[in-house]
Amino acid sequence: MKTTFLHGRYAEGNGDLAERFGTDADADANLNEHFTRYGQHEMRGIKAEDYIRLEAVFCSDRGHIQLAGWADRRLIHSFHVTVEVGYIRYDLGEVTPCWYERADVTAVTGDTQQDSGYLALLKIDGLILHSGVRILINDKKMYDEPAMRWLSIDSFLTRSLSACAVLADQPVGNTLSHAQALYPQYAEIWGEYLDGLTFSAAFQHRAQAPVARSIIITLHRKAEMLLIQLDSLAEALTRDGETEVIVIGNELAGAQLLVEQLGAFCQIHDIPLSLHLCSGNSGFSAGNNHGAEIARGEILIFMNPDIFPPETAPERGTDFLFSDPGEDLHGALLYYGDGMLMHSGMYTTADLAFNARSGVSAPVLRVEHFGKGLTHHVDDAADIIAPTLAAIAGQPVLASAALWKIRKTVFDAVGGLPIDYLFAYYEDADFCLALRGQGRDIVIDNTARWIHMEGVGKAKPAHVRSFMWLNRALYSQKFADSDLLSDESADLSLL
Amino acid sequence: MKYLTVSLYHPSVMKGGAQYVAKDLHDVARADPDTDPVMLAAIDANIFPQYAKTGASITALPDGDHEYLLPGQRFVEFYHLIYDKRRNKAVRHFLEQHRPDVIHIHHSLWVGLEFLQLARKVLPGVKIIYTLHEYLPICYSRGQLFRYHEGAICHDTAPDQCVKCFPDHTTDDFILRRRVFRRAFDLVDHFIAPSEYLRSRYVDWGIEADRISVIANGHTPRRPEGWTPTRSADLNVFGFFGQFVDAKGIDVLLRAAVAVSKTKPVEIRIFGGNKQYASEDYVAKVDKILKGAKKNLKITEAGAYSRDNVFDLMTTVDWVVMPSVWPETFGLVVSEAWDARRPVISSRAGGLTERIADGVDGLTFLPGSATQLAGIMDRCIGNAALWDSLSGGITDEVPMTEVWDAHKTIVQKIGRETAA
Repeated sequence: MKTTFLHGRYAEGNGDLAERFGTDADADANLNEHFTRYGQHEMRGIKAEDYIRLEAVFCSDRGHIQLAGWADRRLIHSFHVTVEVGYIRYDLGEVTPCWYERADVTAVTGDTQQDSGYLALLKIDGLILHSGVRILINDKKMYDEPAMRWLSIDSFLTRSLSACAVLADQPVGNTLSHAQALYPQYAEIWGEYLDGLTFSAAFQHRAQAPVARSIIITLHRKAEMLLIQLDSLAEALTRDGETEVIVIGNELAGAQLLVEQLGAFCQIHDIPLSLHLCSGNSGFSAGNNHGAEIARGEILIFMNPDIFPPETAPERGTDFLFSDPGEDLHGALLYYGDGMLMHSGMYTTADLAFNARSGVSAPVLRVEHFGKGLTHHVDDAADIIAPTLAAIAGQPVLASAALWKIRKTVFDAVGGLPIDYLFAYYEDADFCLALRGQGRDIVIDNTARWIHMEGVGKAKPAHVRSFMWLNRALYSQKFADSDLLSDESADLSLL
Repeated sequence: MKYLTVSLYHPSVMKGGAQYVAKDLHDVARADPDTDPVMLAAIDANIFPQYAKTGASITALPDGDHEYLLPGQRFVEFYHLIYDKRRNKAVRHFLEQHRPDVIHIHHSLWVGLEFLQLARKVLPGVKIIYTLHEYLPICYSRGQLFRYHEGAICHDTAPDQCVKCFPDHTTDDFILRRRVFRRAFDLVDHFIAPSEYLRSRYVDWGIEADRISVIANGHTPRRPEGWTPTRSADLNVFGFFGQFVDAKGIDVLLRAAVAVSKTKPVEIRIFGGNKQYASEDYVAKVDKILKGAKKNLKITEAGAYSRDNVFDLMTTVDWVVMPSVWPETFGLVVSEAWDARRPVISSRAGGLTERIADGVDGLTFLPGSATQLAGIMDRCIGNAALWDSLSGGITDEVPMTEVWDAHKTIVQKIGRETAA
């Protein structure tokens, strides 16, 4: 076979090169060298939009940029990004996007060997905002927006995470490396966002009353169950007289109405109660940490807003509130709304996340629950559930932060809930492992039974699926080597 | 005995069955020298702003005697809660001022379930009785126990079944809703049900059987002394009294009438209102039926009526049809028809089954069965012997004084239980 470089066609199609090197046979070597060194990377002679597309662009006013699209990587070998904002060009250089499988693109291009979808998260330092934005990939203009709508950081975070769901929704082995690559970038954005948040007191009742313990309830957006929850606790709290309730509202809708309702509630139930509003969504950890910071009680009880004492025998739940956990972290038996056992503690174990195409496998952690799926009812006698509880004795049990009881000193000694997890998920397991790592114990109080009205069968929004995926990657990275994981055999046999 | 009646609305503000019952009891209590009654009617001030005075959560009913209004601006419809500071203060002072021995609650709509807690807090020893006028605590679907998506009576109020009527809600939502009602109802000493059917549904739902008594709603006769019932010559005028809404089954009556009119002249007179609350599908269905009507069928929509003119209106029809497809809790129309000695042709739905003795004082058919109803109507038309027999079989409804005595007995019983 004979291979010939068509220098004439290359020169004809590229006037700048023709002018520089000429078009006759003498220019062959120069043109050939140029093509080899530059031309093929610059996609000279290729109609770029046939082989690379930029389908989505999100830009934050802090300089974060997310790009998403597809490319035929047999022809697109580099990914050099340049962003022009107004009169300033920001050359971000060669970037490494997250490549993922896109069946719709593969069906057209025919390339089944390489992933064609891409998603890139970039940052322009020192961005000067302007209306006009152009984005060039490999020096080809791929995006031109004369009136850019810059997103605030929270908006960017949500939209950007939503876009990441294309990665999060894939088998974890396919995208674990992407999660690990993207997490540091998101952690930086998350940190910036958290730094800008503030908390303010919106309601206080009996703020000076002496208390021994503090119940902390962190809400996100909605408070629809709160008054019912408080009502279900009120009798026990009134009787005790030494418990305050601190409600933290993240992005709370209808806060003014809630303030009014809490006042009316306190007219009927005279308990120390306060509401503190966050200027945004600080997530589960930072919200609860703020509650812990302002708590006046020596004992902290973290309670999800969908936790209720059992309807038929509320004391089986509320008695839990008033005992001292000592140096340990205490959790409770949690039951579904219909009264069936949700779980009797958690454990964490590892799976191998694998990607046969790339030949990579790595441990990825999973949090499981003891007792889930058993037909124990919240009203069952203690002896009915005893064998289940006996079976998990000796296992490294964790407690769901849906309901925790812990001394404030111990909570602080562990460092509070970790805020490096985006919004929610995995932070409670992290805290539990950190606490156990300090030699402290976690106890599931077998006498304490609570109803957890956790949503059943509700699809999670795209951005939630994404931060769960990122948080899982972080959790796996932090604890893959922990000796507190339950081993595979336990995972296969324990229920 | 200081007796506080707490109702949803007052007949002077808006007419309706539950408020009529509450007001009737209040009135009969006023005639009792041993009782000092007072009435507090919760209303939706968004609909009736003329009764809402700025800053005043309780206001007197103009020209009312010991009758007050409790206007509200907001209400959590799913849980029947309000939690309003200003209102709580007013209610608290109202209770402290009047210090009732008995609080008789007739509804939770716009009253708010926390009213029970507040009452218990302010007056720990007060006796609380609660009349269940419909099924709202156990059925979010307009309190009708009727599955609109199936067109059938709901016999299973399990929370997962409720989701079938409200797919946007979860089973947990309805578990929690039930819990809220049950918890509030724990503060009630005794419940009153107007029919055994309603009582049985609440017992199935979770109220202990010995905490609910059946007391019929009672009726104040409008029939003049010595009045003799008359009827049309052809005995072919059928009347419908009630709301023009889906569950009342007007479509069943009209389909039956269309069928009968193929062989005999029939006249249907519809007395009622609230057509605007009927679903679009239902109105379309009714319109379609009417398009198929023959010239033998005459239909008159007479509009709304009140208890002031219902006796006279009843006398303009030969037969009163109650084609309800939902389980009626009592059937106030039956009392009104009986007052005018009109035989009632009713579906065997809910409390109606206890009231109509088939072949004695009326005739009954399967809920939703236009075929059965058509057969009955065909039999009724021109049948003077049947009309005389059924009309003659009608007895008077329980009088209000008797109903009031039954309430006092229950109140006394609570006293004995408390003393014990």
